[in-house]
Amino acid sequence: MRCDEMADRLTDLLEGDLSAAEEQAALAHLATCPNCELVLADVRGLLDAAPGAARDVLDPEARKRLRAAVVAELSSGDH
Amino acid sequence: MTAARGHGTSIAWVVALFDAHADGVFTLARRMLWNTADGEDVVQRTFVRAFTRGHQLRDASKARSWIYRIAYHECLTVLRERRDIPTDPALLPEREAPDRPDREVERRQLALRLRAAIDTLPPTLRPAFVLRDVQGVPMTEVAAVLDVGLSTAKMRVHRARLRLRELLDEEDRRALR
Repeated sequence: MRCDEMADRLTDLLEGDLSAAEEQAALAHLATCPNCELVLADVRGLLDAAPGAARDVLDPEARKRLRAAVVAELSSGDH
Repeated sequence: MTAARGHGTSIAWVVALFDAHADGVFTLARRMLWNTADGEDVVQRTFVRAFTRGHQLRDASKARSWIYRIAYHECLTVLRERRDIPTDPALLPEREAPDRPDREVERRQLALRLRAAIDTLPPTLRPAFVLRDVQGVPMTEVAAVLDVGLSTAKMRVHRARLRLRELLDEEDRRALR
């Protein structure tokens, strides 16, 4: 497997969507290619960090206000 | 919630949906619109629309992707109305500044860098990444929310991941110069 083919299959590998033979070929390439191994490690690292980095939680006051606004709008029939 | 027709006719049903998915909708909207106030507006509009469209939901197990799909389209409406989407990261609002260099702060800085990098993703890639990798939504649901085929959804997530890796790598290299 070439490096560009490995890059194309990265998400399939991470999602568990490769066939057994394709996965074996990918793992064999990774074992001998430090660059692709580094890319995979970097992507895994950013995926580990992504939920904590970018998940937003409504401020409790905003949540209360929006919930009340939705109920008020639906109750008034003005929607 | 049970899988039956007509959930959407009840305010209580919408409130239950709100309690379960308001933060997820807010995350999607906040990341797509770069703005807390607009994100909150989308939350409100999404759940009001859920009430009026509730009869369209036939399978309660698909409520999450259904509500995200409504939110996604509400975000697209906001973006169309704005027509002034900032593309320069320096123009993005509410950017948090990095803090002191200790271990916890290092983790926080990485999170801030990643958060900023996500905000610079192209509009087609950003919601795909947010849904799959921030919210943990299965790829089939990502495809349903974005109204694209599974292979397109997967390609968008794939490109977003590689682009983010490039962005963070470029930052690291600049920092070492």
